Amino acid sequence: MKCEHCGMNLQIEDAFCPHCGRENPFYKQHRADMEAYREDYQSTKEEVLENASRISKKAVHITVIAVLAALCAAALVLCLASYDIESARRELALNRHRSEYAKTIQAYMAAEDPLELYEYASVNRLTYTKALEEYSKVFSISSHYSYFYEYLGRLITEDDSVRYLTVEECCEYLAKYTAYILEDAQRQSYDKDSYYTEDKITYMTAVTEKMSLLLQAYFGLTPEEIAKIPETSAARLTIMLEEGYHENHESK
Amino acid sequence: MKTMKANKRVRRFSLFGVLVVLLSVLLVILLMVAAVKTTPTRGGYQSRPSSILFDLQKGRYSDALSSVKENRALGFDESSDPDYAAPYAVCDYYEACSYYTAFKKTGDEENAAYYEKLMAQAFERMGSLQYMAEAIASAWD
Repeated sequence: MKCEHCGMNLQIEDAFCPHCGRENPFYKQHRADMEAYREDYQSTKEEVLENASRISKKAVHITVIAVLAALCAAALVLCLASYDIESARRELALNRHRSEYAKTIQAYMAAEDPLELYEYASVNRLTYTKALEEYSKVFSISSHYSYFYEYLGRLITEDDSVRYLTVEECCEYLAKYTAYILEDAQRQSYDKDSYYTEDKITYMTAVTEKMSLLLQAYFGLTPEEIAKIPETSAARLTIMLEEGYHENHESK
Repeated sequence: MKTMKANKRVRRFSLFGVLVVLLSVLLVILLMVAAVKTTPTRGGYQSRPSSILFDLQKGRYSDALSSVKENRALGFDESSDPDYAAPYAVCDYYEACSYYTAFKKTGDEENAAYYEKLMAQAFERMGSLQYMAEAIASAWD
């Protein structure tokens, strides 16, 4: 630019003309503009920094919430899958100790003790497992015999004041479990061969005979009547047991 | 203006805090539930000698026998606590007596004799509870 007084070259940063010494009128405007720019820059910078900090704080909050929500979702999935996880762990443990369990089960079978066998299987949660699937019918008949024996004991040995069930209810349960025991002992077409090996058939026959013995002794049923139970309705069997019980009870 | 800004800041902070606390509590609960559900457990409870004895004294023989069978399956036999010996023997007597009476009633003397022997063995172990034998025998008879 040129000095408007002497016409010599002049820089915008010069407050006075270096040649004529007069004041540069553009310098003041330039300084004011520069000051305004600097202030503008400063405020913009502060605003950007403040926004960035606000955004980063918000981002941290969102991240924390998202992580917690994700962990909750994962824990929920874990809860929903807990049965499968526990079953898989149980199966693994059972497979590791399978031979020990099988040996104990065989011992109870040899002793023809369905009550002990049922409790052993129940306490160690052996029923409905793949590892010991071949004993499923053995577990089933032992469980049904245990209930049968429990209701028999309640009916025969407990006073009316102690027993929380009526004679009719006890007989209903006895009829139900009698039918279940006979069903367990009877092989169905869909049953696997491993369910009915010779030792298991021997055990199931022994359990059925024990049940027959108790039905004959405490209800006066004849072996012929017991043999016909699979064709007898539950209601009819309940009546037969009730009649047998009352006859036995009155003769005491 | 300043107060409003401060209030706004407090409210935003507390909303975040409440969410964090709620989610943390939920997470802890879910983890506890998952831990409990996936922990391998045994399917039974130990019955104390006093509880079995109480059932026997009340004449609830079936309940007592179930407790004894469950205890034995859990590994709590006579050697784990000497107080178990007498109530366990009463239950053994009760069980043997049911079959003894049944065989006797059906005329199978051979098997009845076997169970009679078991009853005698159990009776020996009944100690101070031997007085229960008569009630049990008459209940099955």
